[in-house]
Amino acid sequence: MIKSLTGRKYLNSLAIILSAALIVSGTWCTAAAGTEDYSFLSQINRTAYPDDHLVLAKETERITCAEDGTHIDEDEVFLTVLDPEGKSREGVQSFYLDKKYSDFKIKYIEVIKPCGKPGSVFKYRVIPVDIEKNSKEQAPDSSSEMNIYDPSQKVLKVFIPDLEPGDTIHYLSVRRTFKPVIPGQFYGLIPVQQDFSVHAYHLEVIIPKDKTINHLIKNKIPGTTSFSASTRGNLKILSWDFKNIPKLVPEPAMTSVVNAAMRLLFSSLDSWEQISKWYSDLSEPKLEPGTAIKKKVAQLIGSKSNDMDKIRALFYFTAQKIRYMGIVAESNRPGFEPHDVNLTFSRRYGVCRDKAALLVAMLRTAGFRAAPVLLSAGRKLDTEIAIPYFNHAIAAVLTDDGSIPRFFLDPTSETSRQFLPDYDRNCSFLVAGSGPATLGLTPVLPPEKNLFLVRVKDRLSSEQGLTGQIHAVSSGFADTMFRSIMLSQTREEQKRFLSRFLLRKRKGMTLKNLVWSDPLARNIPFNFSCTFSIKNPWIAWSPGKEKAFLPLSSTRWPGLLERWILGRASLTERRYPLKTGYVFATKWIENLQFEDPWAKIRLPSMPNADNQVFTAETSFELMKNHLKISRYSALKKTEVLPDEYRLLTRLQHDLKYGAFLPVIISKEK
Amino acid sequence: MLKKKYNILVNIIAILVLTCIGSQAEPEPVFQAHADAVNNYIIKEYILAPDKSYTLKLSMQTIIKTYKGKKDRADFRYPYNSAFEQVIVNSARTVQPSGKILKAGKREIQDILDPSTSDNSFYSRARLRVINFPAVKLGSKLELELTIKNRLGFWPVESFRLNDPTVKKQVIVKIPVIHGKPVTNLTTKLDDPGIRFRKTMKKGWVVYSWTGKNLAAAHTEPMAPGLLNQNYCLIMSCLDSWSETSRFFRGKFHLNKRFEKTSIPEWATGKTPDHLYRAMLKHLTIYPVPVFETSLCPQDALATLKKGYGSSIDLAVLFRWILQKNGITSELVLANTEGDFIKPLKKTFSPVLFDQVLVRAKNRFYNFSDRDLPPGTSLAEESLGLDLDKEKLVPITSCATDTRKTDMILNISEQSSLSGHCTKIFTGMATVGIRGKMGHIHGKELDIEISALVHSIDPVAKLTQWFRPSGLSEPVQKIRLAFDFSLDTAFARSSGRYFFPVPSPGILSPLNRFLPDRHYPIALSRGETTILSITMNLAENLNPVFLPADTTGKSGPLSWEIKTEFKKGKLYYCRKIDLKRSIIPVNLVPEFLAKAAWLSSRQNNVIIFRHRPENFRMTLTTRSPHIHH
Repeated sequence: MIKSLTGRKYLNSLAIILSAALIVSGTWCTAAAGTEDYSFLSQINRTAYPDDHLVLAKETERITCAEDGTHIDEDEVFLTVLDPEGKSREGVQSFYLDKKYSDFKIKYIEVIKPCGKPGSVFKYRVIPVDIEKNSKEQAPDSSSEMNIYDPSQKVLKVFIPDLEPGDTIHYLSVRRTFKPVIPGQFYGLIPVQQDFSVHAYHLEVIIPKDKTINHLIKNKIPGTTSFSASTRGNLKILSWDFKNIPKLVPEPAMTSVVNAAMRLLFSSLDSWEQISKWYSDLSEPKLEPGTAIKKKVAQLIGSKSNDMDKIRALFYFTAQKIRYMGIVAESNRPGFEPHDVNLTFSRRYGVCRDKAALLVAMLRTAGFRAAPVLLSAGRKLDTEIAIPYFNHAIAAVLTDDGSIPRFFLDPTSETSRQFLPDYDRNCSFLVAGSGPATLGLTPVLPPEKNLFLVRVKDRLSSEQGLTGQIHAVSSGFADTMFRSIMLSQTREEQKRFLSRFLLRKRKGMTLKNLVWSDPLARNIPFNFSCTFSIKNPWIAWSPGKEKAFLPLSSTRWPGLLERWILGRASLTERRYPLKTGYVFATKWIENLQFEDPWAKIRLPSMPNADNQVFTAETSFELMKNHLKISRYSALKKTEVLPDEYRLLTRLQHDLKYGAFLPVIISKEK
Repeated sequence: MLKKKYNILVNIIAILVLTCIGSQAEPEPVFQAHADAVNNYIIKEYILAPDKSYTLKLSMQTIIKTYKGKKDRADFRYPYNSAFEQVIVNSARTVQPSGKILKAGKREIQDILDPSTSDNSFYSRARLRVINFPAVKLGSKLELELTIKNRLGFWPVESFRLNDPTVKKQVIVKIPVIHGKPVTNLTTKLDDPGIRFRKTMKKGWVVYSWTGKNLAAAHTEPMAPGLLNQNYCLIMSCLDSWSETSRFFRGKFHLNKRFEKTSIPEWATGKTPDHLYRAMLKHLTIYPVPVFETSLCPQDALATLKKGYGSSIDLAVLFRWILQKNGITSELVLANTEGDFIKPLKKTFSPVLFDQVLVRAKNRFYNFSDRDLPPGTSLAEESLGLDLDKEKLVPITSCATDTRKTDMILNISEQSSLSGHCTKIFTGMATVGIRGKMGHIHGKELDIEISALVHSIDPVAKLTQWFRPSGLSEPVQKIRLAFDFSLDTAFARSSGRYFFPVPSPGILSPLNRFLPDRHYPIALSRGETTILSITMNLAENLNPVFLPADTTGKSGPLSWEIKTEFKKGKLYYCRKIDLKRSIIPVNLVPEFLAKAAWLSSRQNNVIIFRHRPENFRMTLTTRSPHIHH
C-alpha cells in the first residue's frame, strides 16, 4: 500500500519506473484470511485520527532481491476507512502491472468489519472479496490519453464490495520481477509519508550478503523511524520500521508532493554514471542511420554553413514531421529502449525516446556530437541516491569534447521555436554516455527571454472614443504557447482565439483587420496585429469638466501567461512552495494621442513593485497632447517559497485594483 | 458529467477522415478553404437483418493537408460498445503523395477501453478501436474500411457536417422485405435541405439513401447546440413510437423482477423519497456511466444492495425497489442530461436521445450520477423525459432553482481598512460543486479550501472567523457558508478618489469569452440565478461619488436588476442576474452578449469614493452621465 502513492500518483506519469519482485513459493505472511488477531485495528478510530479519511493501520512488506536484480515483493496491507470520503477514495484498489517485467498476484483481499459495541472487546467479521467478480484489468488512462499503446502495461482495478466507514481493507499481494530494468540492479523510492496517516509500516529488504544497497531517508520526521541491519546465512536483511507518521496535506500547485514528504530511497546503483552508461548501451545500437536518414539529413542541411541553422533544420524536422505516437516494438527493455531510428523515420511516429534517438542520429550524421538525455519532468530527483526515475527523454548537442551539453533539444515540442521549452527547465537531467556523468538541472532562462511585447498606437477623442492599432510580438515560451495553441486550431478558430484574447483585455472593444503570422513559420517570432476602437472608454466620474478614461494598457492580465500562471496562486497563504513553473515578462508600450486639447491631465498612481519574485512597473511620459505609457511585468521565479508568497498575493491584489485606475483629463487648469 | 452518447459518437468520430480533389494547380473549392484535412468520401451502408440487428460497412478516404490535419487524423479512433458491437478492420492504409502504399500493421491497430469511462470501468463497455496510420505526411491519403456488427437495434445518428470538409458523404440503409413487407419502418429526422434523399425498392430490399456533397466542416463554438439539435443531423430509428422505445428499455432493464420476500436494510426505511435518496447516497457508491456505454443490463436490486456499489442505472433500479418496499410508487424516466433539447425531437423515437435513468417519485426526479446531487435535482430540468411506465414523454420539473447568493457586510475604517462578513448561499444544482470541494473534508484540507474561498474575495484578505456551515456534507437543497475577514486596504487610490471594485458576475464569465459573430445559436442548457448584495458601513470621512446605476433589464433569457442606495453612512448595493434555459438564435446573440459584457464591465462594477472635506454637503447621484445602457 505504501507504494500506492507512487503507484497512483507517480507511476501513471512515469515512463521509467521501478519494477519489482520475485516469486516466493513459501508463505511468508502465513495469515490465512480471517484467522488473525486484528485487535490492533482498535487503535484506528476517529478519536485517534480526527482529520483522516483513512489510515494505513499496518503494512508489512518484504522484498527479496537476487544477485541479478530480480526480486519478489510481498506486501500485506491493512487500510482502515474512517469516513465516506475514505470510502470513496479507496473503494477501488488499483495495482499497476507491467507484464514484460513482472507478474503480479493478489493472494487475497478481504474486508474486516468491526462488530460489537464500542467499549466492548473488539470483534471482527471478515468478508472475503471475490476478486474475479469484482475486478477489471484495463490500460492505464495516461497511456491511451497520450496516444501510447502497450498491451503489457495494465492497471488491475478491484472494486471493493460492501465497504463502509470503519471497515479495513486487508490484502496480500506478491509481485515477481523477473526482468530488472537495469540488469543486476535493484532500487526504489518509497514515499513513507502520504496523504493519509501511517500507523505502522515495516519494510524488510533481503539481499545477497555481498550486495550493497545505498539507502537514505529524506525529510525524516523525528521519532518515527528505526532501522536495523543483520545477516542470515548468505543474506543481508535491512529492516525499517515507521510508526505514527502524520499525513501530508497537499496544497494546490505545490512543488512535488513526494519531495515534500518523508521518503525512503534505496539503490544498488553507486553512481549516476552507471545509469548514464546503461541508457547509452541501450540506445546506441538503435542509433545507426540507414541510407534514407542520411539522404534526408543531407537534404535538410543542404548548403547551410551555420551550425545553428543545421541544428534548427534537423530539430524542426524531428519535432514536426514525426508524430507523437507510441507502440512498443522492442523486446530487450520495452518501454525504455528507443525504436531503431530507421523504423521511427520510415513510419514517421514515435514517443519521446524514439524522437530523441532519431534526432541524435541525424545530428551525428550532420557532424555534431549528440547524445540522448534522460529528464525528470515535474519532480527534481534526489541527487544522493542514484535511482533512474526519469520520465522523459530528450537530446543534447554536446561540446566538442563531449563533456557538456551545448543545447538541449526536446523534439516532442512539435511546434515550438525553442529547442527546450520552459516546462523542461529546472528539471533533473542525465546525459547518456559512456564517460563521466552527473545529475544536473536544465537551466532556467531570464524572464525577458519569454517576453510578450505589445505596442499600441492610439488616439482619444470625445467623438470617436479610443481608436488605434495593436501590434504584439512573442518570444521564448510565450511564442511556444501561442504556436501550440494556434496550431491546435483551424484557421477560423485561430482568428477567434486571438480575438477573444484581445477582447478579454477590454470588454466593449471592436477589432478589425486582425492578421497574424504563420505559426509554422519559425524564422520569425509569432506576431499579430489589428486595429481597434472603444466607443466608450470613459468611466464614471463626477459631473463637471473632468473626464476619466481607462487606457488600453490598463488591463488586469496584460499578457498570455499571467492569468494561467499567477492563477496558480489560489490561496491566501501557503505551507509549501508554489510551483509557478515558468518565468516570463510582458511589456506594453502605449503611445496615446489626445485629439481634443486638454488643459490638465492627472495620471493614476500605479502600485509599482520590484522584488525577488516579480517586477510590476508602469510609467507615464506626458508630452503635449501625447501620453506614453510603459507597462512592464515579469515573474522571476519558477518556485515561490511560503514566506515570499505574500508578495504574489499582493501582486494579484494590485493587478485587480490597478485595472480600475483611470487617467483624468480636464479642460480647465 | 458530459459523457457522450455511444451511438452518436460512433458516427461522429468515425467520420473524421477525408480527401482533396483536383490537381494542385486547380483553385481550392470554397467549402475546403483553409481545411486541415478533407474527406474525399465517406460511405456508410447499413444492412438490417430481420431481427433488426445490423451490419454497417464503412468506407472512407481522407487527405491530410496540414500539420493539424495530420495530428488530428493520423490516429483514428472508432468508439463502440463491446456488449453488443463488434468492429472489424478490413483495411487501413496510408497512400503517400508519391503513390507508395503502407498498410497499418497488427501493432498499429488497437482495442482499448474508452479512457473517458476509466474510473467506472467495471460498468463500462465503451471501447475504442484505434488505427495508427503509418508514415503519414502532408498530402497522404488515409483509407479505411470497417465492418461493424450491431445486435442491439437500429437507431444510428449521422452528421452531415464533420470536423473537416467532405466532398461526398452517403448514408445508405437497406431494410429487407419479407412477404412483401419491410421488416421494420424507419423513423428519420433531418432538416438540411442540401442533402439529397432517395427511397427505392430493390430486389427484396427497401433502400434509403442520403447523399451530401461538398459539405463544409462543422464549426466549433462554445455552447453551440449539440448535434441532436442541429439541422444537419440525421437521426434514424426502427422504433415507431415512444411505447415501443419504452418497451425496449424495460426489456433490457428487467423491471419485472420481484423480490417480494426480501427484506430491506434498516437504513432503507423512511417516509419520504428525499430521505431514502440521501440514505442511498450515503450507503452506496456510484460508478456513473452513461446508459449507452454500459451493457444495458443493470444488476438486480439485491445484487446492488449486497455489493454496496453500482452504476447509475443499478442505483435507480434499486431506489425504485426501496421506494416500493416503503409503499411509495415511482417510475423510471429516461432523460437527457447533456443539454440537448428534446422538445424539437418529440417525434423522433430514438433511444439514444437519452443518457441517464431518473426515478420519479412524488413528482420529484432523482438522479444517481453524482453523490453530491441534492434530492430532486435531475440535471434535466425543464426538459422532456421518457416515462417507461406511461410510455410517453413527460416534462421534467424542477424542485429548486439553481442559485448562488453572496451577502457581504463591509465595515470601512477611516484608514480605509476593511473588516467584513460574508455569507454565501447555494441552492439546487449550485450546491454540487461547493459540496464536492468542501463537503467531505476537514482539518487542514478544509483550511485549504477556506483559504481559496477567502482568496476569491481578495488575494490579500485574511480570514478572521469561519462559522459552522450548513448543508455542506449532506446532499440537501441548500448550503450556507459564512466567514469574517479583514483587508488592509479596501480601495485603490488615485487622483484623490477611492475605487472599490465590485465583484463582476461569475455567471456571465463564460459568455464574455464568446464572440458576437457566431455560426450557431447559444444553447443555455441550465438556468441559474446569482445575487450579490453588499452593505458598506462607511467611515464618516468617506462619501461615494459614483455608484453603478439603478437598473433593471432583460435581453432574451438574461435579466438583471441592480439597486444602489446611500443613506446615513451606509451604502447598499444589490445585483441580481438571472439566466434561463433556452436557445438564443444567432441574430439575437450580439445584443445578448453586449448586455452581458456591459454587466461585467469594469465601468459598471466599481464604486468610487472620496474623502469628505470639512463642511462638505454632498448630493449624490447614482447615475453617471457617461454610462450608456
